[in-house]
This record gives sequence, C-alpha cells and structure tokens, in this order.
Amino acid sequence: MTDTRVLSPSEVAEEHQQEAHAPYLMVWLWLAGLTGIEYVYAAGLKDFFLILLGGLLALAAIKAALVAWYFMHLKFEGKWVYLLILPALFLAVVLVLALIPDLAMQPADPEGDHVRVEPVRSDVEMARRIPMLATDRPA
Amino acid sequence: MALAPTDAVGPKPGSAGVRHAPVPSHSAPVTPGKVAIWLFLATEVMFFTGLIGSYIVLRAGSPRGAYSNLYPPNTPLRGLENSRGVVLRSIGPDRSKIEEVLRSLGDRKPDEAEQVIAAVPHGVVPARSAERAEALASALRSAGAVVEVEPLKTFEWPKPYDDAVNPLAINLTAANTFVLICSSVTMVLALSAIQRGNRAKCTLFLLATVVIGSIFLSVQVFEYRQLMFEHHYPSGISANGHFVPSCSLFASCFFTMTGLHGLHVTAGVLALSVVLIASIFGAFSASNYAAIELTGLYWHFVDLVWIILFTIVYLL
Repeated sequence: MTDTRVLSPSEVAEEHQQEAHAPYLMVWLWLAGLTGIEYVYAAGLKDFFLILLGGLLALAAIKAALVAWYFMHLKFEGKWVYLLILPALFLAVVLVLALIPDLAMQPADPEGDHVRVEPVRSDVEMARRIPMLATDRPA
Repeated sequence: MALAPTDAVGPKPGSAGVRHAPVPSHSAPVTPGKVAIWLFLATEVMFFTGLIGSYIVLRAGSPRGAYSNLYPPNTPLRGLENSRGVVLRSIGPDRSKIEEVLRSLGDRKPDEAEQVIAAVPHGVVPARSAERAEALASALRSAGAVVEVEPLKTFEWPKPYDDAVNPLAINLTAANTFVLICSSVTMVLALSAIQRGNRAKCTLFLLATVVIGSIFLSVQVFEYRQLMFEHHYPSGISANGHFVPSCSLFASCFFTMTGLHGLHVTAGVLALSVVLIASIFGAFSASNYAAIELTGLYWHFVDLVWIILFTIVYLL
C-alpha cells in the first residue's frame, strides 16, 4: 500500500493520464463478442476437431491477450515485465513438448483401427505402459 | 498516447518537446510491489502449466476406445465391437413396466434399472449383439417407452456436446465465463476510479467485483453438485451414473483443473473483500492505490486462466 509513495507527483499524474483513460468498456465489448463467437464456433464445428482446435485456440489467445494488454496494463509497463513472463511461457511450452513423446507418441497400431488398444485401467497398468515409470520392467 | 499532465493549458503548435510520442521511457513506474506480484504471477504460469500441460499430454496419449457411448470409461472393448446400445429417451406412462423389462435382463446388477431410468432421456442399456438389442428395444416399446438403438461408437476423449460421453454443461459455463469477464471489467474500473480520486465509485466497483466473483463461484459449486451428486448420467460417462473424479481420466483432469482454478478465485474474492473493507474505510486515494492495483493484477490473471481453461476443457 505504501508503494506509490516513492513516486514523484509527475509520475503519478502521468500514470493516471495513461491508465485511467484506457478503453476498458470497448475491451469488455470485444471480450463479450469473442466469447459469443467462440460459443457459436464450438457448437457449429464440433465434428471437425482440427478446425475447432485451431480456431478456438486462436480466439482464446486473443481474449487472453486483451485481458493482459489492457486490464493487466501490459500496454503501460516497461520491458522488465517481459523478463519475468516470457521465460515462464517459454518453459511452459518446453515442458509440454518434452512430455508429449512419452505419452502421446506411442507405437502405431499395425493393424489399423480394427484392433483396439486396450484402455488403461489403473495407475499400475499406466506405469507398465510407460517404461520410464515402471518399477517391474523386464531386464 | 502519452500526454503531459499540463496538456489542458495547450502546447503551442511546433513547440518542440512538449507533445511527445510514446516512448519506452514513459512506461508506468516500477514499484517493488508490482515486481513482486508479476514474479508471483510468473510462478503461477508454471503452476497452471503443470496442470494444463499434464492435461494436454494425458489427453493426447488417451487411446481410442478409452471412452465409448455404451460402456463406462476404460472398459476393455475387445469382443464387444458388435455391441448395440438401447437408448431410453422416454419411459412413457408406466414406469413399473419399464423397470420390470429392465430387471428381467438376467446379467444385470440389481440397481441398474433405476440408474438407466434416472438417466432418461439418455438412459443407455448396452447389449452384446444387434439381435439382443432389438429384442430389448421392442420389449421396451411395447411397455410404452420411446427408445433408439445405436451402434458402439468409441472416442479417445469425451466429445463436447455428446450427451452419451460428456456431461459438461457448456451453456451454463459459457454464461459463467462471461460473468467472470465482467468481474475483470469492474475490477479495472475500480482502479481507474481511484486513480482519478473518486473513492465512492472505486468502492462500488470493488463491491461489484466481489459480488460478481462470488456469483462465478456459486455457479461452479452448483455445477459440481449437479455433476457429482444430483444428475444421473448414462453409462458412457460413469459406471455409477455420477460424474466424480474417480470415474475417468477426463473426470479427474476436469476436477483438478477447475477445482484448483476455483481455489484461486476463492482466494481472489477473499483478498478483494479485504481491499473492499479497506476502501470503505477510506484507505485509498489518488496517490495511494497499490493494494487495489496488485489485487487487480492477480484477479485478471485468474480470469485469463479461466479463458484458457474454458476453451480447452469444455469446448475442445
């Protein structure tokens, strides 16, 4: 609560000029509109997964960016914020990409769709399927 | 565009250096509190990455056949490929007759008839062959029920809007997403008001934020109650008719992610309540509003995470 006391009056005045007059209601309309578009898009294209995935992720990214840029005042902040946020976002992507091969890229089923892969029924079975997690792995 | 505070007096056209273009040196001042909250939010990014990343990876690794429209999640489907499901859409005028027909199926558990009837209009009775399904369907029809016969459909992950495998109420949650976005707007308007020195308006917007945030939480609690206790779902969603964390990988992912997000919202509402009380007692002014700004940053982050969660958990 005492943070702003280190600011000079002109700095405070400048911050007010910039932040207090940002187009918040316009951003709200955009967010509401994009949520509506997302809803209709998801209902209309529910059978086309890749189109659904691409479109919805793009819409969610735009909405998230609007919230961060205007509401979280990234628009007004210096470069130091990005020094905190970008490494975290980079590591977030690395974490997911590094884990994908272990679970999602299992060997293809040689006989196609007709033979179903046995579903995983328990954590123990899951561990057996993923060699990294297995404790009883054959030598 | 950055204007000098004395702009109302009006710089003369051409007077150099008075009206300046926005340059990096005019970004908002850096305060210790702001650095601290952004650092905290960076750790929160990693926290939610742990959750969302696990969800993406587990979902991508979920095999076809893990979910089906007829059998509970993770039922081994080998040998059941020719199954048909009798879907009970309406039980008609005489419930006891329908119960009798369902109980007459020899190989069922005793309470299965009640479960199937409770899940109407999506009450599913799996049958191992087309003949058995048709026999059951015609018995149910002659007892007055409206039924359909469906072939086995398998999924890697419960498909949105498919009532046979996915219980999530998208309409309700889409509305709730809008509610949370509105609370973010009232939050930023509260900050804007105090920056202009308007304490009363700031307090009102803070109150609105607390109320709207609480509405979001209440709707989520209502949704959890429906999913876990009140509503009865067909066999493709849960073996016992209720959507609880233990019934499938999808369910445990759903409850982990939305539950931990809900805890964040709860923490935000509590923090905002403290700020609201401070505001009522006149703690803030046009030169002292850091608590509102920092709580607001956290609140917007929680809203931002929900925007992503709603998309990937409910709509995809």
